Order: sequence, then C-alpha cells, then structure tokens
Amino acid sequence: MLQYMFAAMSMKKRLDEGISGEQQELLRDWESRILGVMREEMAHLGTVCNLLTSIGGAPRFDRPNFPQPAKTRYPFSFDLLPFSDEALYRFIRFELPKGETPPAPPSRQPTAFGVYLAALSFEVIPEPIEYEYIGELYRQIAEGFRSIPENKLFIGPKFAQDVENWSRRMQILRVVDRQSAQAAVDFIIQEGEGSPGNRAGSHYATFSDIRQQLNRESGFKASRPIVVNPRTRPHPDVSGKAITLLTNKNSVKVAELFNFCYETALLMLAQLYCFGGETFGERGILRESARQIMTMALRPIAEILTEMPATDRPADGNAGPTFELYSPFQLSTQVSARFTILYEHLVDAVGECESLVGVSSRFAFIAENLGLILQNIRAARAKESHL
Amino acid sequence: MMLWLEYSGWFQCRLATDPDPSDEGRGVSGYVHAVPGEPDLDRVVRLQPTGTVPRSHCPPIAVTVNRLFAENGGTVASPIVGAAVELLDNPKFEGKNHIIAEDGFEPIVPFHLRISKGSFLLDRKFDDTMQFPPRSDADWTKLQQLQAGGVVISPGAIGAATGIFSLAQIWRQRSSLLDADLRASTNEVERAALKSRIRAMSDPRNARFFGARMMYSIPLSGTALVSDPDRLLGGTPQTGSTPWLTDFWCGAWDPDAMCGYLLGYLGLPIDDPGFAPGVAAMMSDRRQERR
Repeated sequence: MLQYMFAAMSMKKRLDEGISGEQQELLRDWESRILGVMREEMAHLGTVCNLLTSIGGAPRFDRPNFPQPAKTRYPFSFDLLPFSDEALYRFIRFELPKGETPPAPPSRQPTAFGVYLAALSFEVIPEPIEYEYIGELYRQIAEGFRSIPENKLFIGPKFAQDVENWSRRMQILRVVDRQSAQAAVDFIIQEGEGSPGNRAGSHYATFSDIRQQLNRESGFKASRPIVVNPRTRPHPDVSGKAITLLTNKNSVKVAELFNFCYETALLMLAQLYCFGGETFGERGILRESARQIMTMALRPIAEILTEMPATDRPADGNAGPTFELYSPFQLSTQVSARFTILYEHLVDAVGECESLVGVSSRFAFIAENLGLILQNIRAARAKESHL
Repeated sequence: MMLWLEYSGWFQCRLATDPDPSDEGRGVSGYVHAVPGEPDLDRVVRLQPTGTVPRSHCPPIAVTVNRLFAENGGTVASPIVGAAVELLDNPKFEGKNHIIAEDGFEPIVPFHLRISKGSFLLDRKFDDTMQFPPRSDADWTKLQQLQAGGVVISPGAIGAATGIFSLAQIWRQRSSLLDADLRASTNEVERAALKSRIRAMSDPRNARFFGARMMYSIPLSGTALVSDPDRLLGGTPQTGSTPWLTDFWCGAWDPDAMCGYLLGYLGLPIDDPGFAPGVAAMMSDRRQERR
C-alpha cells in the first residue's frame, strides 16, 4: 500500500510540469484510481485486524523500512518507486491472480534477490507460509479458519471488532465466526483479484488498465523526478543498495515530519485495533482522527515533498515521502499513557508544521488540521468522562 | 418596524470534495476537478462575478436583492432591488473533511455580509472576536451558529427557485453545446478541458446533490456599517448589540458549473428593538454539536 501511495504522490499535476492538457486529465484519473485502491487496501488492513482480533491475535503495525528484498515471491525488491511502467509492472504482479498471464516485464529488468529457505524443526513452530500470489496467501489463511474448530479458534471478544464505515467506499468487515471469516477473506481476494472471467474493478485490472494507457502514451514522463527509496538516515533493517539519502536541509525536516505524522497515524490505528479498555467514544474519535490525519496531513506533506529537492543539487531529483520508522513501533499497555503520548505527538507535529510555513504556506493548513484533531480527541475524551 | 430583504442568485464555489483534502488544488479523488487551463481550486464562496472562473454555457454568477417585505407582509417598492449581495473576506465552507463538521453541516467562515448599490450600503460581520480555527469553547459555540442545519432534499423548492427541475436535461443541452465547441476548437488545452467536462456530465452520479439544500440561519452581531443617504430604508437600522438575522439556503449544486443557488432573507430592525436574545440558539436545534 505504501508503494502505491508513493507512486500516486509522485505524479505530475500541473501543465507547467511539461504535460499536455490530455495528459493532465489522464494523470488525475490514474492518481484517483490508485488512491481508490489505497482506500480499499486500508479497508483490507482493518478487516485483517478484525480477523486477528477474532482469534485473540494482536494486529501488527511494525514493519521494516524500505527497501526490502521480496525473497522468493517476486523477481524484485520492495522499493519506493515513482509512478512508471516499472512501478505498475510491480503493482500488477502484487495483485496478479493465479492462472492469469504474468505482466510483461518493464524494459529495465528488475533486480532478483536470493532465495530464502527455512528448515523445520518442531511442529509447534509455525511453518513458513509459501505463496506466489497474494490470493494464495489469503486462501491459506482461509484454510486455517476452516480447519480449526470454531470453539477453539474464535476466542477474541466480539465487541473488539471494528465494524464502522470509515468513509465512502471503505467498509471494514466484522469477523466473529468461520462464516464471517470466510466472507472477510473472500472480500479481500475479490477486491484485489476480481473473479475468474471477471476482473473488472479489481486492483489487478485497475493497474493493468493504467499500464496499458501509459504505454499508449509513448515518451510521456508521468512522474516528477522523484528519487528511488528516499530516506533521511541509515537504518539497520534496510537491505539493498538502491537508496537515496536526502541531504537538503529543508527536505530532511519535512520528510522527518512526514514520518512523525505517519507514526502518529499508526499510533491511532494501533490503539483502535489493539484497544485495552478504550471506551466506545474514544475508539470512535481514534477512527475518525486516523482517517483525517491521513487525508489532511500525510497526503499534503507527501505532495509538498515531491516538489522539494532531494539534495542541494537540483539534478539529483526531488524528494518524496520516506515512510521511515525510526525505532520499533510500540504501544503503551495503559490507556491513559496511550492518549498522553498521542497528545504529545500532535502538539509536537503542530509546532513543527508552524516552523515550516516558510517552506510552504500549506503547512499552516496542516498545522490547523492537526491542532483541530487534537482538540477533537480531547473534547471526545472529556465528553466520555462525563457519561 | 422590521424590514426584510429577499435575495437570490447563483454563486460559485470551486472546492475539492471528500476524500480529497479540502485544500486540494486540482481535485483528484473527489468528484470536483479543475479542468486543464483553469487555476487551482480555492474554495472561496463568491456571490458576485469578481474572482470567479466562469465555465461556458453555465449560469451567470450574481446574487442580488429581489424584493423587500414590510412587517405586514406587503412588498415595498424600493431602489434597493437589484443591489449586489456579497460575502466578504474570502469565506469558505469549512468542514475540513469532517474535522470541523460532517457533510451538510459545514459552517461558512468568515461570515461577513454586504449589500450595496450606489451609495447605499449594508455591511455587517457575524462577529468581531471569533477566532478561526477555534481555540476556545466560546469560539466553538460561535462556530456552531455558522453551521448549516443539515441537508434537506427539496427538488421542488429548488426547481421553483431556479426554474430547473431536471439538471440532467440541462446537462444534455450543455453537453451538446460543448460538443460543438470541441469540434470548433484547435487549442489542445481547451479541447482537453471540454472533453473532461463532457465526460463528467455523462455520469449521472455527479448530479446527485442538485436537489439538496443546506439551510443556514445566522445572527449578525459584529460591526455594522450603514450608508443610506437617500433614506431608502425608511429609517435607521439598529446596530450595536442588536443583531440582524439572515436566513438562507444554498443548493442546486451543479458541479460542472461549480455553482449553486442561494435564496435568503435579511431581517433589519428599523427603529426597533430587533430580535429577542436567544433566537440564534433556538434556530440551531438541528446543528451538529461537536462540543
């Protein structure tokens, strides 16, 4: 999903970026469709959290930084790439249904990574999940839900399920038993792959269609000159050499602010899904705030970054959102501490935004939004305490 | 006595829609877009042509005074008819993607009404001290008075006011005119813009809000300016602590034109104590309480 967002944010928007009117319209349509896929992926994330919660599991929001080898599954690594034929090739490959012809590789051959093999020792240790297609992975998950007795499997409390409509076109499915678990898995596969004979509207079909349209527009440079795998500092969990260290002072500050807001959004999501006693109202405001911070802070900051220089030499290209986690992601076990940490994050983010208004006036807008989100959370909690 | 001014007309508001961030300049994931060759969207509610970005074959922008009513309900012949109605200081629908208000409840901020014609002037702000974004409970309370009371589905009222009972029919006619423009145009950017508009109007979902109205009722208690050298009002409007009340609806949203229709009233206490305290609170029953 982050790779999709990076590509979407990299697209050119204005005629003065060397595109024609027709191309501007195409780009708007493509960005809209990729953002639509992202919204559905967010719904998948929520539904997977529900699947985990239903069986007493803990949703996970930690992940290694980019780039990462994709091991045996894909003939390329997980990279943050600007919108291009190569990026679309990868996206189609991610969503490829089993039995469909793989997409033609891009003109530049992607880098292959070494094969990863695991040795099994004890039966209590889970077997590594082997799959070539995302649909296969989900079908294996569905098989697990089918094969384990319901009364042993569904030990998570039903009230822990997130069942709200997050926004238009984004619904989280509730999972409380085998039937609803199967429905949740089917929903995710259907949106990703479509069904045999009818792929229309699926993520696979969307990316395939955009790639065809892009290839019809020969010689069309659709993305801003964004560097590959930008980051603000070295990370021990990063593999591969295809990274770009941002060195322009302002770009580093903005990228760090992006990462801080990204972590804040993860804190909200983690608290929503790994809740430890939050009230119904508190969960509601966490859900709203997570959605709002993504739309009203993360996306604008990412867009600002794609027009900033990566280094002090313009020829090196532009920066982009780096999606870095600077330390292992963790959530306090105590509700009051969780909110205190969240408040601190939002207060700090507002201050950072205000300090960057000279870089882009749009930071005043983002600071307003973050400040209001903070006020809303505080007000919702105050209201809950009076109930 | 109380004097009522009725005003109406088409306004323009070029705003991105959810799930775009509210300051999105081009419109990407929502259903409203700036087409090639147009400046970025700016969300400003414009009741007069200045600053608008008119699109071809769309209604002319101008909200003006239609008529005046006396307390007895009779209309008053007046040169004020035709006066321009404006909202000053670049007002916007400030829902902020549900951070401030849910869909249909968006406040218009700031709210500063002006009615003028020649040397005649009525000018008043909603409030002189409210801060936006709100920083205190008092600001939130005032902001609530600027919110709409929700969306009312009322195609009949909209049809009667605008003469348009079917936007689909208007769009078919407009698309035919744009098709002709497209055939005649050799400018690449203009052609892309025309195609974009024709494509958007071919999707009936984009017309779905035409029959909806947002209802507002706003007491104006800020600094007032009155200039009436010819005594067209027949007396002196109360200012000071006496509010004026304006109630209006915005509706008939035509996303191709980026226009809506506005019909409202301004109640002026002329040599009169004005509205009873608390009238605004009584009118705010249906407004959303965020606090």
